[in-house]
Amino acid sequence: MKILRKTDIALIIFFILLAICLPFMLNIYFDSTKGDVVHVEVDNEVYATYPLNVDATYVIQVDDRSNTLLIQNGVAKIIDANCQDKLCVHQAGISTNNRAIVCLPNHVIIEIISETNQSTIDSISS
Amino acid sequence: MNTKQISNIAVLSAMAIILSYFERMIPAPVPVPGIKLGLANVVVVICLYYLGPKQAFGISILRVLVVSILFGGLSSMLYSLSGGLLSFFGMVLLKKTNLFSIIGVSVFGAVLHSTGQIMMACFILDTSKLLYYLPILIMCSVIAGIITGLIAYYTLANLNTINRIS
Repeated sequence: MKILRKTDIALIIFFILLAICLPFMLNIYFDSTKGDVVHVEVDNEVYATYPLNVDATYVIQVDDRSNTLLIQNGVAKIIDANCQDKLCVHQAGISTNNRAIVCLPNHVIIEIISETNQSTIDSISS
Repeated sequence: MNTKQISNIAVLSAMAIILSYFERMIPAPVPVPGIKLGLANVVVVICLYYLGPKQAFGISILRVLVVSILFGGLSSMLYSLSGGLLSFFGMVLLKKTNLFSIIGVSVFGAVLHSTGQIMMACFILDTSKLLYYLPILIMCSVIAGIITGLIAYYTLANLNTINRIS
């Protein structure tokens, strides 16, 4: 059994190219429009909408699940969560249109929305 | 299914479960949340080549169930199951073509594993936002797949040597 065949290399290159091209196809990372509001969704339902230009700390509490959201200098970040993995706490702050922080265990989605320049990605679902 | 096959599955499942547990204790080498090497996948790949798809299927299902019950929860079981199943069937199909070596099969499995989990998460949370995470996951999966493929390749080579001697 050969350890590496030409087809393997082709497959690996294909996936690397896919990983590089996907951001362009999804039109993310490059939308540098500053967002206006922070949209918070819990269990697929709108929980609250906070202005991004007001520095504040909000506690998103549903049942026994809580996430603490900090908005500072136009950047939204989760600073505390009572979930197990704390992946959302480790994620970098978000400030531009359509970027999101997701807390999987708590079913919380925090999303930046620019009301002046709505991107196309969610135009169908919203 | 004879006794030897059953005990083979039991031993390999135990190995996969221990590797999953072991993996939780070592920190990820990259600062990306949720990235894992997928050491348990090594066992599934080895089994796919050494015993066959049926046994490998048993091991991947058993591993997901036991690891989720012991260390995770119901939601982590759903994520692992969707990733594990997609990855398993992808690897079986790719192996059947006979065009790829164990490295290719392992890389394909790793990529499908992350894709399956992301799709399940998108489905549960009913959002497309998580797809943003896919490119970096694919990139990390390719690297992880190459590493696990190499481990599986050398393990299999040694297993065959042992079988020749004994």
